[in-house]
Amino acid sequence: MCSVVFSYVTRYGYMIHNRGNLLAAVMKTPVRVLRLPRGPDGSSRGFDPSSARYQALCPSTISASDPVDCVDLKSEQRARSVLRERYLRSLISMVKRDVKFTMYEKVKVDAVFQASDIDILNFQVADLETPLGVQKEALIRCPDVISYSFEIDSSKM
Amino acid sequence: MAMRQTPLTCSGHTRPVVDLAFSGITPYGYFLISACKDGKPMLRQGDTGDWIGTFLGHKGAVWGATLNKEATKAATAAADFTAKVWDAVTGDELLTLAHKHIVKSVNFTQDSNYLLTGGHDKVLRIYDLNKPEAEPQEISGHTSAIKKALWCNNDKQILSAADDKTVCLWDRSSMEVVKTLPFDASVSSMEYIPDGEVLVISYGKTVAFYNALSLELIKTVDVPASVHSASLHPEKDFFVVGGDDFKLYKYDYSTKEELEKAEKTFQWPIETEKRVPDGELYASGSEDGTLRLWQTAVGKTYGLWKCVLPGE
Repeated sequence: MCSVVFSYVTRYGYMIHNRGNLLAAVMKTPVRVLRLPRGPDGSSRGFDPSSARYQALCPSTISASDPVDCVDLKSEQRARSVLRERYLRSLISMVKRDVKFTMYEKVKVDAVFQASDIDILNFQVADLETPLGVQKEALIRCPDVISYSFEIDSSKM
Repeated sequence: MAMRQTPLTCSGHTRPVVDLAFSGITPYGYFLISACKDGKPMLRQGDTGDWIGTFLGHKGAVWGATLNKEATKAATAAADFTAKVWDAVTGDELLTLAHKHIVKSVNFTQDSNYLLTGGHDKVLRIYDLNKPEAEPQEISGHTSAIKKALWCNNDKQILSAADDKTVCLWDRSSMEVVKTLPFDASVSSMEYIPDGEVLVISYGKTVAFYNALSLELIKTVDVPASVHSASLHPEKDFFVVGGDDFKLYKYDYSTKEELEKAEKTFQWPIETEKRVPDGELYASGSEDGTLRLWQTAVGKTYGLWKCVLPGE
């Protein structure tokens, strides 16, 4: 009888020890993280110009011109700003106007321009005239466009 | 105290992530680029996984992506029959290199002057990035689509893996094949470790390690599932394997012992994973569009992971 009790106690003690290990294995603490990685912001393609890396490396990444000195760089940058502003204004004046698009694969279509996305990769148009009929709303991929033209309303000039 | 690995999940892609690459260590840290079937490869900060930008322009699935050592340039290979070179600081597209079929793999030389491409047209091409208008040098020989093409041996040689179940070593100057390794099964991934000249090749349920110069076999390790990709730690202590059983395995390189296994916390099999330049973490990309960053030393304070001391 004594031995039975003894072995029961032993077995119980052994089981407790084992279960402790089992619990410890199952209940491993997950490593804490400060936060989750940030994802895309959904409104732009990123590459923040105000980041330290961009500020430091950007002057060497203006691809169109050869390495030039500081003065030439400033005047080139000024010229770029003027051209950019002019282009953006041309887009604004194009809103709700008929535009003729000449695209790759000998495609020529007419549509009413609505808007552009921030990176000038897509144009939102209405009443796109296609061989299949008039598409009420459509997106035109800018890289597919060779040229486009529209009439400026001379009475507003 | 026993710690359980907490991977950092990076969201953003909407389709399977098929290729990952890290840059070298730069003054601004290191970076990670991911190739995705959604056609929009992304650049992330390597140690935190924070999204930096998306390279927009490809019109098809992007099968391969790489960064140069300084992370100033990126290159991508896509199903739209082009490889593109990008400014990795501004995100602007610098070059579009037209090919005759789907491009699968891109790789910069150490000096970023040349780009190697390979794809479904079975031809390896070397582009001089300083003369992008010039015709590329072409190396023919593979009898089926090239999956992966890498520079090796100080950019003096080229390694290519193709669907014809071979891996070939080519000499860059003579453009001739130096050695061919035949396999029984299609090679699923190939990785080159310049330090120590090791080549990691996975096929079927095997991960094999070769001397990159002689293509002599060092060792093979069998794993429980078909391998999608494998990557060796820079110090060659261990390697990670992504299998089609939805698990990521970590093995000791010397003893071949399985060290860690990450159960499926996500639905889809692991497509690819890479170890980072300083060896502190490794990344995996998955069919569900997520990327995960995993710690090498679980519990250590690094990036977004915080070491928790007893009593905290």
